[in-house]
Amino acid sequence: MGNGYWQIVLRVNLTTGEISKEKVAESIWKKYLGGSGYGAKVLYDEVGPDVAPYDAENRLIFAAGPLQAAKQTGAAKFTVISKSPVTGIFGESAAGGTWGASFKAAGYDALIVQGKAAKPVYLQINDDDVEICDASKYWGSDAYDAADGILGDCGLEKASICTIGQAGENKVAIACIVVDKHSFAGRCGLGAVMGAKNLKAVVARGSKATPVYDAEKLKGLNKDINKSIHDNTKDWLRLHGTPFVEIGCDQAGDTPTKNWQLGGWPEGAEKLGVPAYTDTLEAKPHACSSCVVGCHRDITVAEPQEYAMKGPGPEYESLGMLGNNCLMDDVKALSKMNDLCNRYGVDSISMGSFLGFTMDLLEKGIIKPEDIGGVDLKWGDKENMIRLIHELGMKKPGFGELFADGIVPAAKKFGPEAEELAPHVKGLDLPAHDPRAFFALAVNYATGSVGPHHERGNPQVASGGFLLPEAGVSEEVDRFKMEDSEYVAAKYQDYGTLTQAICHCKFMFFGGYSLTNMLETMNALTGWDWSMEEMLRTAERIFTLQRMVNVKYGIDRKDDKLPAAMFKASEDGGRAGKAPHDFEEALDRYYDLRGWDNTGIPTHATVSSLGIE
Amino acid sequence: MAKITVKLFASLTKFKPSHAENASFEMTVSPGDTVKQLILDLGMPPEKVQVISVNHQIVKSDCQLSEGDLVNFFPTIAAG
Repeated sequence: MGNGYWQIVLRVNLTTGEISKEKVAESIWKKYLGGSGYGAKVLYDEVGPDVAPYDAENRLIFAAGPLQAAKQTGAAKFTVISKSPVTGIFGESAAGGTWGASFKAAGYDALIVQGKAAKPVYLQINDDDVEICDASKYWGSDAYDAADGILGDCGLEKASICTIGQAGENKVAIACIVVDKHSFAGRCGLGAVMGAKNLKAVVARGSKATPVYDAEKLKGLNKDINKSIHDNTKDWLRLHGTPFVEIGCDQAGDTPTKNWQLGGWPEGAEKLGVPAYTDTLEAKPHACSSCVVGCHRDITVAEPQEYAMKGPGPEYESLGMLGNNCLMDDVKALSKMNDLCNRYGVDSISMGSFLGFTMDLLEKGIIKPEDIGGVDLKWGDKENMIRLIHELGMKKPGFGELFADGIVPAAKKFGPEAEELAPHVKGLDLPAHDPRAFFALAVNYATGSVGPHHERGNPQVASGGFLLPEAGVSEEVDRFKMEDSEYVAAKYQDYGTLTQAICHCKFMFFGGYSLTNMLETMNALTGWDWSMEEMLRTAERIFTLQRMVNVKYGIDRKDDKLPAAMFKASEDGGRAGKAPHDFEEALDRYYDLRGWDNTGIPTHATVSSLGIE
Repeated sequence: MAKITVKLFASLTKFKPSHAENASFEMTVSPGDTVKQLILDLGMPPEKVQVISVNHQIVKSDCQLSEGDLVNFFPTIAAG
């Protein structure tokens, strides 16, 4: 009888070429689950503060979770973890596609890559056969072309592939990992860590079924859960994808507008959101493996020629960052920008942040066009936005080199005024949800393990009725309330931590997936017979371990802060006159709740009670 | 009279009529009634209704209802 784990970790040393398979005891999986939980354990144990993100000694972990044994809707996810070149701290990002399921079916729970290859390589995992292969002829290719070429060379049926584009090769800090030309481990610069290791791609193909504890029980759960989630999402997430939320988020004052300066942009949101998006781009659903939702979009832009493209369409985050944040309302041009980000392999959230920030600095006269290679970038200037995406993707002199290490080093070059306008926490650009529209995001962004993240805690959805009654959030939350915002932030962080560790898609939550569904699934998979309390305690353990990784890298209360703009209310829009307040008091309460001291460091008692070793 | 199907999402589910077992239910309206009238009949604050779709087409609240319509009401969903 199984437990949803192989209890085997594949380790590849690219410096020596050594490939090994390590047995990892069930007790470790029970404590850290997999995904970003297991990744945090590896970073804590193996990557010290003196290891820089691009050093050979940094680890790059691709981790599945128990859910990949379940074949349940939402179980396509896997997580990539490393010390981030954007922040220098714990970095992780999740993706879908079919890679996680294929890798798990090859007989492994996680892959640890260390060292640096002497020349470009790719890793081929085909069940028990693991090879390091020459990728020289693909170095310089974009992420899509590399995927086609390498999969063609492998000749493996039903294989899945993670690739990087030129941005990763060039160590552009916001480089992402591209999965099956369709899904993206976008945040934290993990593609640049691949590039630093001369690792162009990881191919996975598997033919094994992971043994589980109670297959019949799981089958029944899957049937009910899949039907319920399909019924609850088919009229919006399946029909329109995440662009469905664009207009509502703008109206709520939630979408960053003009480098976070304005409270809304309804005329722009109307052109970017649905139904315009779906109609203009001929958008169709695209599902990850096992998924009944299909929230991703396949789109086609036939004309004008300069924006022609076919493939994955922009998500809400890309609309918000490349659109509203830059006052750019042409959804076809935005689709082209998004496609370029995908092919070069850069995070479209940070890309939109860099562009909006640069427009702001130019308008305010803090920098001049010659500071970015002679480009006079104006708000909504789509042609120059496209030009600058090319330049960053290829790390060209000017804008490309300026932002190659992230927004903080770029801002520092232009002095305190620029630094104050840079929208980041711990070096990671804010995503497209505004703490002034949902106050619980303030504490969430300030304390998130990777920096500000809209899904590693998504407390903003508690105001829309997506609740966590099993964790104590049983009533709709007033979005402008600081009191208890720390509690809401912590509970949604814990939920996000669980999904990242078991490797499940957070969007199932919007179809009604509950913590009870998760618990029943976990018990059917593992036979651990957990109570809800034990599962939630595991989330706290993992989140605290991630904090300990960051503490080891020098993080404490001084870093748990927000950009000054997040405390300035706008005069118009859906959050006019509102901004988070009494933030330090909320942070004090949050630390108390977490069992961290007033400098933001987990106490010995907390670490001991959580059983962190 | 026209029989329609209504489905409420997320935080709007609390406005389901007492006769409804869940957030998807049938109702009878007068031909020519608008969505706005339906929102009022259900007791939903109009400002809480962010997106309305009728037969999967996104519409404004002045849309007139007909026999067999499927009407979905969504609040602001700050997801994605």
